[in-house]
Amino acid sequence: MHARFHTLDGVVKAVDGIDFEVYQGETLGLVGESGCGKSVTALSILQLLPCPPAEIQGRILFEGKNLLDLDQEDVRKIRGNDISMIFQEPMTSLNPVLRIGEQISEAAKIHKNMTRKEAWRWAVEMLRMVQIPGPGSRSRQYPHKFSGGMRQRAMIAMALCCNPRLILADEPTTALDVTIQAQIMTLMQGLKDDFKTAIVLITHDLGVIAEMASRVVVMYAGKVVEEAPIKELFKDPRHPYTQGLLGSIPVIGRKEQTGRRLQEIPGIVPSPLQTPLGCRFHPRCPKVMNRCCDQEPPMICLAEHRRVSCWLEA
Amino acid sequence: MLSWTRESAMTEIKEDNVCRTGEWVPENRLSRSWAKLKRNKAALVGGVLLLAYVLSAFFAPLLFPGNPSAPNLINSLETPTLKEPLGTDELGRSILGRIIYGSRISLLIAVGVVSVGIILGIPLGLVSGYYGGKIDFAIQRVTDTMLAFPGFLLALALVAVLGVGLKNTVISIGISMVPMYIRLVRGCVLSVREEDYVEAARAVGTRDLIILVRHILFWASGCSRPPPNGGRCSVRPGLTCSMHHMWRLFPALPSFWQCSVSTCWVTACAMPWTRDSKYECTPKTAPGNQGLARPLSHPGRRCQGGGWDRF
Repeated sequence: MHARFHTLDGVVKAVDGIDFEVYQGETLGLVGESGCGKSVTALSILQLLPCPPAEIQGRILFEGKNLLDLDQEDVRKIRGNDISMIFQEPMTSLNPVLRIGEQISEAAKIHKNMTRKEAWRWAVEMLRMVQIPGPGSRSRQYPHKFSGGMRQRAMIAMALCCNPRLILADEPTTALDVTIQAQIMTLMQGLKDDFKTAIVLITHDLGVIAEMASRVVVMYAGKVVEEAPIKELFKDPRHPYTQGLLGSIPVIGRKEQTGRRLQEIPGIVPSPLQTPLGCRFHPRCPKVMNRCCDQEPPMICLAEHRRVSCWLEA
Repeated sequence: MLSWTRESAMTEIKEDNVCRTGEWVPENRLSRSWAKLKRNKAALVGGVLLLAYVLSAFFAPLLFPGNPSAPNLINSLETPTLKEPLGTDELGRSILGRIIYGSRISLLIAVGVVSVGIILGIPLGLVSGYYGGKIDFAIQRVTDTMLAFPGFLLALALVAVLGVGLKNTVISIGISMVPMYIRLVRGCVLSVREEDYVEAARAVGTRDLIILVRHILFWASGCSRPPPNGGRCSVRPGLTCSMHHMWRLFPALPSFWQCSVSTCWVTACAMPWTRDSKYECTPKTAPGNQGLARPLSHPGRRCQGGGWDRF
């Protein structure tokens, strides 16, 4: 899939030819730094990007159907019903002037043809499911009476409302503090097992990925650089970028054990307006070779769901 | 589980019944609004004046039995008496009665004009702001053209085309106000359109129309609530002044009255800018959330500001 933005400064290739699969009941982690195109990927799947300026090409297959071939009305029917999304910012993703119950029941009213009352009752059930105490009275409150964690729970309830088959979770825990993060993660894991929902978990927090995902796709500057089952990724990262990401996780007592300080990846993600020639990671890569600078590395398949795009493996 | 219960119990007490000063706030929404209104004296005075104005217009036949237009030449140009508190005009008609009946027409025009403005302006502004692109361009260029004329001149030109009469006056003044509403609503929509919750609403598959009405208009309406400006609609056919100074004063009274009402109304909305924030009960307060607007406003709404000064 490709996603481009036509801007006054030129064509921004935010997502430049990525491919991955998600299976039923599976959690796929989508990792990368800020500005790698993770969120654009999620928004493209639901076609929530305004076109123009955005232009999405390629194929997005959902149960055999190419979502890009469908017209707006069909896509709207899929949104929230088959595929739903959990947003990053629970503080701003709820409408402050509508009651929580109203917002959760919206999807049920649209897709399940429920009446107002049924949908409301359903919303209360959903709130109970995401473990909000006193869901009956809480559903009648406005978002400003909810704490951050509770709002995120409400967002999850909204996403789960129609029992979708795929949830795109765009950094669902980034805005929350660590204890709430753990609660939300446990909750999502439990709900996933109950509903057999597939989750695409977009995050830059490798701790969260380790906890939740069974398989990981690492993105860099709009491309997939590595894909691996979770254990292998942590045990044996092949791409220097993945190694860099893993090296930048703080570990208490590492310096005493290994004598190394916390590592960082020097530099920043290149602007998608001017992607470097050759391998996109080469200006920041510690293992850069001559041909990295002018030739783009091929995607090398090491095993099933184990691939890496780096000249070191070629 | 325990901590949640405790937390929710505490918020319940804190947010529903007691405000930050520790004052008890009534449970009922209406009485809470009344409590807020009572604190703001300017808003209260403005509200009472407005109410008196509206009620006197509504109950005009009770307050002034008889025909205010029927001439009674024997009593022409009388000084104020107990029977005629404001005296009579050159045709012997009661000036008080004519003021009371005149306010009916004023209000009718006010309501009519604002309705025309809203009915045409809000949908156009919503569509223009939400969809953008070519539709936006087309609507905005027409709006530009209309705004290029001074409002009063435009209304006069429209009257010249449509002809005189109450209905045509309402239509022409209303149309001349449409571009203002379009701009105002479009501005609000533009600021709300990019909010995450609008995207979230789209992500659950909400239709555009529902998004526009529920998620955008509800919010934007806090900013576009029009002041029922009495002074704007002082078109009163048939009220003429006599030669005498005193009589010249009284027919001017409704205008003065309207001005005071509208000034108080505007003051009421402007006053709270200077208000002490210790009275605030809602967690987030912004300019648009105060004055008469505040008791009327939504509990969770923070207005994005700049509602009134755009007029």
